[in-house]
Amino acid sequence: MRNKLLSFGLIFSTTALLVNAEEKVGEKISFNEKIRPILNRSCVGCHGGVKKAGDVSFIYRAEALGKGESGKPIIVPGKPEESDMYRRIISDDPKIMMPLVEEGGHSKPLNEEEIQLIKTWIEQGAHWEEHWAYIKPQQVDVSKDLNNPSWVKQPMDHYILKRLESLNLKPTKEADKAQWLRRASLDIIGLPPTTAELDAFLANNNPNAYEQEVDRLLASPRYGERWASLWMDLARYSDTKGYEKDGHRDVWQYREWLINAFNKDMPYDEFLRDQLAGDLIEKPTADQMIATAFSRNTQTNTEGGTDDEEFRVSAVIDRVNTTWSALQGVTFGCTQCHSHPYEPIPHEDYYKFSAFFDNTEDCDLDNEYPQFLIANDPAKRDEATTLQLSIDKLRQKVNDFGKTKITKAASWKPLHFTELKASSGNIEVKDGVVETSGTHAVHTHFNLKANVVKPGNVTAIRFSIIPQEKDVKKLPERGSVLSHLIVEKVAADGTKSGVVFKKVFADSITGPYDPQQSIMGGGAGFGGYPKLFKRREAVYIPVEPVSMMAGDYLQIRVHSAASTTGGQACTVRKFQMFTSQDPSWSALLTNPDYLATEAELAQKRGVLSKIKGTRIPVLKERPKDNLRETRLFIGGLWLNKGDKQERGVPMVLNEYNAKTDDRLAMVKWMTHKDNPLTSRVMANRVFAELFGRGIVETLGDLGSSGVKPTNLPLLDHLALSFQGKYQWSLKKLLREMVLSAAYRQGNKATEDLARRDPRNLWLARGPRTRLTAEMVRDNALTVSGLAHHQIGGRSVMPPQPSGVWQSVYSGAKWTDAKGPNRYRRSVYTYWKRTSPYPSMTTFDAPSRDVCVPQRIPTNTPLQALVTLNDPVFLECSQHFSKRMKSEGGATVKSQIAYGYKLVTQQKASDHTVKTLAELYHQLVADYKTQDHSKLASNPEDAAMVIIGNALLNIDAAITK
Amino acid sequence: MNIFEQLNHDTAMHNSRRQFLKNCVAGVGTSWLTSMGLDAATVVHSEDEKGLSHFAPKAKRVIFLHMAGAPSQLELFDYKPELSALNGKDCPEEFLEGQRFAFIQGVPKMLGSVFPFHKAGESQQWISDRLPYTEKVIDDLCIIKSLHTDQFNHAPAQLLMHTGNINLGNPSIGSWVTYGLGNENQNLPGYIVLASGGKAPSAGKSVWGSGFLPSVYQGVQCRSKGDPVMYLSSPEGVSSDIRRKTMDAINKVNEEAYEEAKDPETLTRISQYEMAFRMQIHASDAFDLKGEPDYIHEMYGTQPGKESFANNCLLARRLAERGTRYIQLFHWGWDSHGAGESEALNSGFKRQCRDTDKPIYALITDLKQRGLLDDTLIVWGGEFGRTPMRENRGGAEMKFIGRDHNPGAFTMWMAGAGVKPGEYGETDPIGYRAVKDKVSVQDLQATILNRLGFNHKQLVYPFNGLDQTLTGVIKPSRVVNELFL
Repeated sequence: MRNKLLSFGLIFSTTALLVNAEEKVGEKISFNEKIRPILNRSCVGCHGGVKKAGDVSFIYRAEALGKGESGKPIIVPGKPEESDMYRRIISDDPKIMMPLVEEGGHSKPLNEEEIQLIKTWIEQGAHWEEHWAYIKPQQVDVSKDLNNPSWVKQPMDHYILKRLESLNLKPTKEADKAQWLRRASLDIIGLPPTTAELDAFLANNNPNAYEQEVDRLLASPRYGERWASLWMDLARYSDTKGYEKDGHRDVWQYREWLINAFNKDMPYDEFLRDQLAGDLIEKPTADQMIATAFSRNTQTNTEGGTDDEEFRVSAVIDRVNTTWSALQGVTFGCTQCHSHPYEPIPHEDYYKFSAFFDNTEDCDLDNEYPQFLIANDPAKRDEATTLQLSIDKLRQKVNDFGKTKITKAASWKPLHFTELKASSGNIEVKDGVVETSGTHAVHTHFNLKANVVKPGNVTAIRFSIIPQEKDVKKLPERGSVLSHLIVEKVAADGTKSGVVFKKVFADSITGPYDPQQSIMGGGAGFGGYPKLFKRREAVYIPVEPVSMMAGDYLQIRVHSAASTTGGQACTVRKFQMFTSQDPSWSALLTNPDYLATEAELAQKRGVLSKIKGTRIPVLKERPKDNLRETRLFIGGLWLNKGDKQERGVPMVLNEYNAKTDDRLAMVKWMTHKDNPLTSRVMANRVFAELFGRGIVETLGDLGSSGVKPTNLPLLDHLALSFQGKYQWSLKKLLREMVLSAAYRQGNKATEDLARRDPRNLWLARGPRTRLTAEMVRDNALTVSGLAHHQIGGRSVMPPQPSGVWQSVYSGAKWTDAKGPNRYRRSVYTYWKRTSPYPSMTTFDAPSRDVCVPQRIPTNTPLQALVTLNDPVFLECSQHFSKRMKSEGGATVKSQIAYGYKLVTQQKASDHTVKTLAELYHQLVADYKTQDHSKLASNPEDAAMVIIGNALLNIDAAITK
Repeated sequence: MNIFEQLNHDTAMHNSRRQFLKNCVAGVGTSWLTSMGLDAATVVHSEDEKGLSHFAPKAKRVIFLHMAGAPSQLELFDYKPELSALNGKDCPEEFLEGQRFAFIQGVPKMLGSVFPFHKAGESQQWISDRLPYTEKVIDDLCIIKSLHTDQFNHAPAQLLMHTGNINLGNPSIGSWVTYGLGNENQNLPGYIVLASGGKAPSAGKSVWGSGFLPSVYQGVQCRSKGDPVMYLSSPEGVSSDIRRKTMDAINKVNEEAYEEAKDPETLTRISQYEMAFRMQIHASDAFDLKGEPDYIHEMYGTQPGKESFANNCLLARRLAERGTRYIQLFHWGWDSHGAGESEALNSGFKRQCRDTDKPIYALITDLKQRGLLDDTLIVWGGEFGRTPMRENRGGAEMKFIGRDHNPGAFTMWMAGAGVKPGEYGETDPIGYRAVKDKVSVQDLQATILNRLGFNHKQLVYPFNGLDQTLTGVIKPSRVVNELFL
C-alpha cells in the first residue's frame, strides 16, 4: 500500500510540475484541476467505486452530498463546518480524522493548502465536474492572442504556439526539406523516400511543393499497408488461433480489407461500423462481413478438455475490453470485477455492454464456427455473400412453417416408456421424463420401448431435450445433442416396420449443426452444442402417418454422436417424448409454400457449393428465438452469475440518449457527433504516431487515471476537425499534421531546450523517434532494392532462425520463403501468437495476444544484434553494398556518401564519410588475409558489405 | 503509459545505460561517453544498486524447473496407501459432484500409485522408486504437497503459474524480478529461458513475456542448438576484430548524431551497441559446455550440442555463476493421460523421470559444492496435479494407464536460499485435494518474491488505471513463512 501511495504522489507531483506554474489558483476552484486529484489520491481508495467504507463515496456528487453510515451529511454545499468530510480532515482526533493515518492506513493527512482548497470549494457550493474526457470537445479560439502568428501554417499550430509562448519557448527553425521528407514519408507510408523522390522534391520550388508531396504520399498504395500495421495491434491480428496448439487461422482477408479501407480513406465512422457491426447492416457486402473479423481475432482455445463456454466468455470479455481500450480510451476492464474505482461507471455497465457481444454464434469451437466463405474470384464475392445470407434466412423460413406450431399445439401426448436400456451409464424414467447418469462414452445410445396412449395415426413425434441443471444462473451445461432418432413400429404380432422421417422442425435454427441431420445419422444433429443453454424442442414428421393399433408399441433408439475437444461426449442426458395425431403436421409436407421454400434453399445451396474460396471467422448474430441471457458476473467470475442485464452503454457517455439496442446502434452511439471520446482517441493516436507522444500520453486511457493532456485545446481542435470539417477522413487529418509548422520544425535540440524539455512535450522542435519494428526491416529492404511490393494476399514467411516454432501438439512448420515473398513488407509476415517473428518482437512489436493500445519503445542490445547479425539484414547489406558501388560514383567516399543518403536522406558529414572510408580500407586489408567468401567474392566487395551493414545500424538510419 | 509508467520506463532505460557505463571496459563509445562526463561516478547513486527490493534478500537468483504437462504427484512424492486400496473401484460420487474435468467422463475408476514408495534420507520423507538420484539430495528439498490452482487446462494453468493471470498479456515472474532487481551481469540477459522435451510450453512464449512491462524485461529464450541467443553470432566472415572495428565506426557516427540532436536515445543506443558486442563474447562463452570437465558431464549426463534437460541444467549452473537473475527451464512431456505410449504412466513417464532425475541431482549437488545454493532458489513442479482416478477418455478404458488434470492438489519442491528442508502440507487420503497448510499458486509466487527481498504487494507497476502486481487482487496471497529456516 505504501508503494501505491507513493505512486499516486508521484503522478500528482509530476503532473503538477508539467503544467508549470502558469495556471494560478483562480477565484473559482476547478473541481477537475484541484479537487479531483486530492480525492483520487487520498480518498477514493476507500471511498470510491470499489470500496464504500462507512457508506461514503466520492465518485458521484449525489453520493458525496448524501449521508454516510454515521448519519451525518458528508458534504453540505456552502457549509464546510457542517460537512462531515471537512470536519474529519481538519480533526486531529485519531478516531475520526481522515485520511486514516494509522498503520495500514492509506494516506498521510492533507496539507494546509489542500485543506484550504477543499474548504473554499465547499464554500463555493461543492460544484462537481465530469472528468474532461467525458465532456464533449470544445473549440477554443486562441488565434488572436499570439505574439508570432506568422509562424502558423495549419490551424493546429495556433494551439501549439500558444503553449510555447506561454512557456517562453521559441519554435525551432524549419527542418531542411530532406529531413521533413524522410519524416513525412516514413510516417505516412512507412517507407523512406527513394533518391528520385528526394531529388525531385529538393528541386521543386513550387510554393505548394510540400502539399504536392503529401498528396503524393497519401495517394500511394503503401499508405494503407503502413496504417494497417498500426491497426493490427489494436485488432490483435494473428494468423493463428492462440493458446496451446496455436493452429493456423485464415483471416488474412481482414488485413487486406484494412489496407484497402485505409487506401480508400474510408471515413472512420464507417470503418468502425463495419468492423463492429458489419454483419448487422442490411444486405452487407463481402467487405462488410470480412470487417467483422475484427472481433473474431480473439483467441480460440483448441486444447483438449477445455470448456468451450469458458473461452467463449473469455472472447466476449476480450471484445469488450478491446472496444473500450482501442476505440474509447477508457479502462473499462476494471468494471469486469467491480464498479470503476475512479470513473462514474458501475459494475453492471460492463455486462450491459458485453451483452452486445454475447449473442453471436461463435462458441470457441476448433473449426472457428461460424465461418464465412470469401470467394477467391473478387467478382464473385458479393454473390457468395448474398447467397450465404439468404441461405441463412431461408433455413429460418423453412423452419418457421413448423416452429410456430411446436408448443402451441395442444394435441401432444407424452410417450410412456416401458423398457429402457443404455449402452453406457444408467437410465431411468420419472414422470415420463428420461434421466440418465454415470459414464457416457461418445456414441452412447438408449433403446426405449414406448406405448402410445391412444390408438390412431401418429403424425409427429416431439423430442424435448431438458437441462439437468434447474438453476438458470448455473446454465449452460454440457452440450446435449440428438444425433440420430430411429423409430420402429412393432405391431402386437411382433411385425416390425421402420418409421421413415421426412422433416425435422426445431424451436430454433442455431449453432453449427442442422436438426435435419438427426434423421440421417450422418452429422451431429439436433440440440445444444457445445453447450445446452435451455430446454430445446424438435418435431419429427414421418413421410406417412404411423398407424398405431391397440397393443402396438414403438421401439426407439436415441443416439448421441457429438463430442467436444478432448472426447467429452455431448449425450442427450435428460429428455421427454410426445406424439401428436394432428393431421396438419402431415399436411405441412405438401404445403406448396413450404415446398417452394425448400426448393429455393436447395437451389441456392447448389449455386454456392460451386463457388471456390476461403472460409474466415466472422460475427454472426444468434436468432432471436435462441438468445443467451447475459448476466452480471459477481466479482468478475464467469461461474458466479448474478442478475440478467440488458444491452446498454454507460450513462456518463450517453447524455445524448442514443439508442443502444444492438451492436449497430452501439456503433452509432460511438460515432455520434457528441460522443466525447471516439474522435479524441483516434486523433490522439495519430498525433502520437507522428509526434512520438500523444497529447494524452496514455493512448489507451483518457480517463482520470490516465495522464493529463499536455494541450487539451489542441486535442479538441484535432478531434473536432476530424469528425467535423474532415468528415472522419484520416488522410485529411494527417495532411494538417504533416503540413503543420510544428511538424516541419527541425528536430535538433539546443542544449537549453534539451534541458528544459528533454522529452519534447511542448514541441519546440520537430519530432525525432525510432522506426517501428515494421519500418526497421522495410527500410532495409527498400534501401537495398530488395523490397517486393504487392498489396494483400496470404501471410508470408521471410527467413527466421530454425527451431523457433515448437508448439505442443502441432506439426506446423516455418518454411523460409523463396522468391518475391521473401521481400514483402513486414505487415505481411506470418504472425503466430505463441511464437511471433523474433526480430520484430525485439523491436517492440507485441505478440498480439490481446489488444495493445500503445507500443512502449525500448532500446536494447538485442536490437543491435538483430540489425547486425540477422541473415535478413545481412542479405539486405549485400544488396545494398552492390547498389552503393554501382550507383554511388567512382570513389569509395562517394559510394559511402551515396549509401548514407539512401539510408538517411541526409548529406553525410565529412567526419562520417572519413570514419567509414577508413573502416573500409582497414577491412579491405583484413579481408586480404581473412575469409570473405561468405560475404562477397573479393575483399573490396566484402568490405563494402560491412559498410552497408554499418549504415543500416547507425542512429540516423533507425530514427526518423 | 501514464507519467509514472514513463518514469519507470525511463528509469529502466537509464539503469541499463548507467550499469553499462559502470561496467564498461572497452570500446570507443566508452571513452567518448567518459569524456562527456557521463561515467559511473556522476550517474550512479548507491541507492540504485538495491533496485526496488524491500528487505534483505535470501536469494540472488531463481532457477525454476517447470515440468510442463504436469507430473503426477501420486507417482513421485505424495504417498497414498488408501488410494492403492481403492485401486480399480468406482470413484465415489462425492469426488465428482460439481467438478469439471478435462477428459474424465461419468464415473471413472480409482487408480493406486503405479510405483512403490519408500522413506528416504535423514528426513525420512516418502519418495517413489522413480527418482533414485533425487533421493540422494532429498534432505536439501522442501517438498510442498499442498499446492493447488484453479485451472485445469495447461495453457491457462501455466499462465497463472508464471504470470499470475490466466489471460494473456501479463508479465511473467522473471520479468517482475528483473524489473525490480535489474541485472547483475550486463553481458548476459538477466532473464533466460531454456526449453527441452522437444516442445515449448503450452502457453507459448507468453509464459516468459513481459506483458505490460516494457519489452526489455521479457525472458530471452536461449537454445542449445544454433545461436544460444538468437542472432548472437556475427555472420560468417565477420571476425571479432572486424566486428570491433565496425562497432567503433558505428559509434563514432552516432556520437556525431548525438552532438547534433541531443537525443538521449542516441546516447543509449551507443551504450547498447557496446553491450551487444560484449554479449557476443560473454554469452557465447556462457553457453559453451565443451570446457566443462568430464566428471561434470558424467554427473549431469550432458552431451554438448544436444537439446536436453541435462544440458539445460548444466547451463543453468553456468548462468547462475554469471549472475543471471532468473533462469527458467521448461521440460515438456509430463502430460500422462495414458492416451499414448509416449506419456503413459506405465511407459513414457518412466523415461521422463530418468531424463530429469540425474540432472536435478547434479544441479543441486554442483551448486552446493560451489557455495551457490545458499543464495539460489530452486523451484521444481508442474502447473497442476493429476487425478487419483484413472482417465477414461471418451468414457472407455484406455490401453495405457494415465491420470487426468487435477487442480486440487499437486506437489512442488524448493531448495536453497534459506528454505527449510522437510515436507509441508497434506492432501486428503487419496491425494485429490490439498487439505492441510494449503499453498495456492499466488502463495507460491509471493514466497518466491519474498526470497528475492520483495513484498509481493509492493512490487507494483501502474497500468490500466491500477497498480498491478504479480499476485493480483482476485485471490488472497500470503508468504508461506513456515517454509523458511
